[in-house]
Amino acid sequence: MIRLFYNEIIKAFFKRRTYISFLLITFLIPIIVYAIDYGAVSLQNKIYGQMQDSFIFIGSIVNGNFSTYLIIAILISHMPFLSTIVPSEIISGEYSKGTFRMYLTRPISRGAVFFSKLLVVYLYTTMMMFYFFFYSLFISYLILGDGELIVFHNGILLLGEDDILWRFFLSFLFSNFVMLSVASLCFLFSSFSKNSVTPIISTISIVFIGTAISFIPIDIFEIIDPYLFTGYIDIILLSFYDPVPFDIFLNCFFVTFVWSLIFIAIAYFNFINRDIIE
Amino acid sequence: MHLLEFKNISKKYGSFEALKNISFSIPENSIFGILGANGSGKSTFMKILPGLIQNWTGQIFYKDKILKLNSKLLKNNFGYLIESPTFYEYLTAKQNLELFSRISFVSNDRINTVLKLVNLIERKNDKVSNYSYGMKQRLGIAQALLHDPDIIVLDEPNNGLDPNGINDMTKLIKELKSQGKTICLSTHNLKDVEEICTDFTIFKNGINSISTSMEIQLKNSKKWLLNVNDKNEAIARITKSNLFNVLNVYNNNILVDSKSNSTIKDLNNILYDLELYKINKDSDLISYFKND
Repeated sequence: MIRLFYNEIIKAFFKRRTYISFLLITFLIPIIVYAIDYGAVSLQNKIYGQMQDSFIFIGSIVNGNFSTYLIIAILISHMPFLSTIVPSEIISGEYSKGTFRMYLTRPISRGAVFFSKLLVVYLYTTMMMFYFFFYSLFISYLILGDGELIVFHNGILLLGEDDILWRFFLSFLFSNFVMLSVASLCFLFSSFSKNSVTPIISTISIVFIGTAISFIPIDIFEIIDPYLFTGYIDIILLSFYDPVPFDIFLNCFFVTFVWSLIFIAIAYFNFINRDIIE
Repeated sequence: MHLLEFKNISKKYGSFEALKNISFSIPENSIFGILGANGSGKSTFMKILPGLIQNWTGQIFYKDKILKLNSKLLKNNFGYLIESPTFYEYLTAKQNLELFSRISFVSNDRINTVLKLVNLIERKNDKVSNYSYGMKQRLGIAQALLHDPDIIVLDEPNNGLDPNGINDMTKLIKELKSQGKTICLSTHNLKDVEEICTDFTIFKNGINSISTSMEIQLKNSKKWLLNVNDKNEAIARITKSNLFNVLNVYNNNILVDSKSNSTIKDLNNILYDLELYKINKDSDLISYFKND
């Protein structure tokens, strides 16, 4: 299994497309942080709004923590796109290129190949999410420095510098669970598909529908939303509530876990029994 | 001695029967040819051995021991090159073989040995995407030989090769035989079978109609392939007539050769009241490719 996992790492990480997400994050984040820095005054005025009539603000609320919070909250809904890059191709790519015809003739079980591929998908997703969160934090700190974080939850909530980092860890952890579900879904489509485009389109379509259900205020949607993994894509916002609603985080864990399990089980059954005729 | 024996191998895709009761044996240290036109079921059959195709029926015996589906023995003792060689093009030849060696528990020294054997040692650090088709085919052979298997299964090894490539491949296959290996190759090229195979079987519409050694095939010039409903009765009558020898029987096909100057007329007289579906004169292998 370790040898198979090592092989899958080589197969995935020697491909250029694996690094698209990392490159995108690397270039995009500094641009956004510089833009926030450049427009800090105007941004600050928009946030303060009419509050300036009631409060006296000393210093700037636009700092590294605020910038990171803003970047993650805005870009998190786009991360499913990036999380499909590796899983979309990891099985379907081998079907379409015919490499399975040689690889699966070796004295290895298909089940072991399946799980080594799944591990690589999870490794990639976690690395990408970690990089997204903490690279944003690093660049934001580097350019804008430290400071208190102002968020809106039941009014204005001011979080102290020592009360912020663990919240970023918490949001990373649970956002990652959601992305692992997205990656599992894409992995499932990859096990059925003969090309890498179909899994991406199918996954994003489902995420889009799921997200729409979360945002449309209709009773029936509000009932089913807690049971959909897509309903937790913006769970990062909840990490900065006070107190943190841990029951929702627990729900998030169970829902994403169950959905991932369902996706993996179907993919496994299909992969094990599929004829390699391509 | 038969190294490998197939009994009643069948495979269906939905209602389509790709293979129908395929049965034949592969002798040890032979070059066994599976001959058939495109769509005859050769490739489907070749994919059954390494477990690429699931849910087939029948039995496979290796050294008289029955093999289970996806048996590790089938994979450990066999080397495969199924259809065109397909590698991870963004990796070098050496990196590709390292992937295979890692899961076959083969040392890295063996990689250089097989690359030398197929004349690719000088290009081992080139990316496979820069290889010609012939080079990829040779690399495919190298990966099949990596774990030093007893049996090498090659699906259409000469496909896409130029005359020099075909010549090199023929030499390589003969060399492997001289090393004691058993080679099973599929081809639609009669010349391949006539030139290098010691034994062969012929696939047609998912059925193998004949399986014999090349020696018998070439020695006898007056042979007939019969397809009958009641084969036991037909064999009994042919034997009793003393006009023909029964060379081989597979499914409902009987290969006979004539003694002295017996003709097709004699054969018709013997079997006149049996349901005789087909009689082919077997002057050469091409007769098996003729349409029904």
